[in-house]
Amino acid sequence: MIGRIGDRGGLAPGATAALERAGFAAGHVQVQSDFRKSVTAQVTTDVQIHTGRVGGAAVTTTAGVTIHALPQLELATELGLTYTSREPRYVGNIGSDYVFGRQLAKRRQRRSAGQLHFYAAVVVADVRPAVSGFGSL
Amino acid sequence: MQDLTFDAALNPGVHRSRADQIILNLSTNETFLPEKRPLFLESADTLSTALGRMPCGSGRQRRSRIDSSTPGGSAARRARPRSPTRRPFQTSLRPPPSMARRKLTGRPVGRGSTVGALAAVTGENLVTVRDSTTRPSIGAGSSPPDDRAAVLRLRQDINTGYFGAMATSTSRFENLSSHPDSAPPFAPTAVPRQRPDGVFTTRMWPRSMPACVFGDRRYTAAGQPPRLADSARGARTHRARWDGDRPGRSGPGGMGAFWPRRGDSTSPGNVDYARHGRRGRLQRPWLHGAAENLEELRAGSELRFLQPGRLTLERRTQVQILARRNLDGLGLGYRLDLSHSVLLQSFWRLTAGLGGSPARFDDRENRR
Repeated sequence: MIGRIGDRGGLAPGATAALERAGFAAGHVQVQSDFRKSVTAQVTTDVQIHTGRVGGAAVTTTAGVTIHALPQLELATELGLTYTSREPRYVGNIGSDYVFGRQLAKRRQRRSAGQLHFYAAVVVADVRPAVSGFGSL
Repeated sequence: MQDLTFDAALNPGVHRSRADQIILNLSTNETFLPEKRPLFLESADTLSTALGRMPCGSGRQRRSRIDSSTPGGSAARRARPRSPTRRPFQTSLRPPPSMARRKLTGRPVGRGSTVGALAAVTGENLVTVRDSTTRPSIGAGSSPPDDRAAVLRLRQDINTGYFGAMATSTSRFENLSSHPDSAPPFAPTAVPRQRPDGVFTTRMWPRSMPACVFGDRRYTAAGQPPRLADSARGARTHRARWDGDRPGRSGPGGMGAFWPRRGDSTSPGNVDYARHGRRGRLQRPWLHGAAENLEELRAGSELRFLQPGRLTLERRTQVQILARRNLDGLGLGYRLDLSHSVLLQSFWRLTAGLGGSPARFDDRENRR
């Protein structure tokens, strides 16, 4: 998890679109329940506060539950929330001047997934080697 | 010196490797394939760390920075679903090959100590985008050697755990002239249309793309213009002209409705912005010379205690420093992360971390 604090990916607010990216202080908390259980949960929260006169803050929270209904069946659902405000973002330019605005971003996303693991064996031919008496004892 | 092993290989990715399983990836996420190349597997534990993947191809990931948000995705090959509103892009991406790699691993110092060093040059990254509705093939992007990376890993066992340190250095060369962003190989999906109220409206790229997250963002009025320092190149003024929340206005102020709620971007002639959303990075017509040429230094250390305590099974503390600058010498800032993780007796894991970075420049915005 280290190295990812405050880094919300290339498409997330705060990335790729600022001429001068504001400084920030970030915090990260993650709690994961016993992964050996049939039901596990995980909650992750990232907080980022921009420093200086620019201001702005962003919060990203992800909570998910994974259910191992069967040994070969896994069901997972995840909810993610993102809120960021007042972060300056480049939006265009007028001549040689850059135009900035402050961003208000709200995002809510859900993800549900299921995985069924199975193994299928196909026997093409049953070849039994003929036993002959070569060799000697 | 007896415990040191030196391996060197040219193009190590092609020989003595088992075939990959066939994976059909229809999503926009990358496909990660298990590492099977012997050079990467041998002594892999020496260079592995909890700090993250090593740069430059440890673990073969069918992924590309330039392709991570390309229509059609970044899998080795996949096709987008066909629909009247979506153009059937087909993106074929080869993973960047490792052209040369040297590795030195062993236990030269004494008991409980391990050292590993690795240097590698990664070859060109090829991506081909096809649009079957207009042109059967719309070119391929390629570049000279894309990455040059070096890794140094040290580890010292202690009584109840170990102390590890790792430093990586990466130089990335990217030729913009061959970059897909420099000249979109296909026309935008839509041309700005003028609504009856005089506002130009441009449809965003298909919503299933990662760019569509912009569709839920909305710019608001700035109370005061953000005061941003002049760039290192100076002589440029950054002004905030922002009316915000006033869709329907043309001109710069109309950009306030630039990313309305549902994927329509409203401003005159903002096709470039659509490109931005499509690629996940900003399109700069005047950006020439290089798209992302930088040097990156990453160093970290980890202290891990494996001795069970009264409440814990394992404790781990990590510190990591990242510094970047582009090849013009423009500092792209640095950041510091501190993280602590605890595995409880109940097998619950708690992780907390702090990080920070001073203001920094984005090199993709500072070239002109």
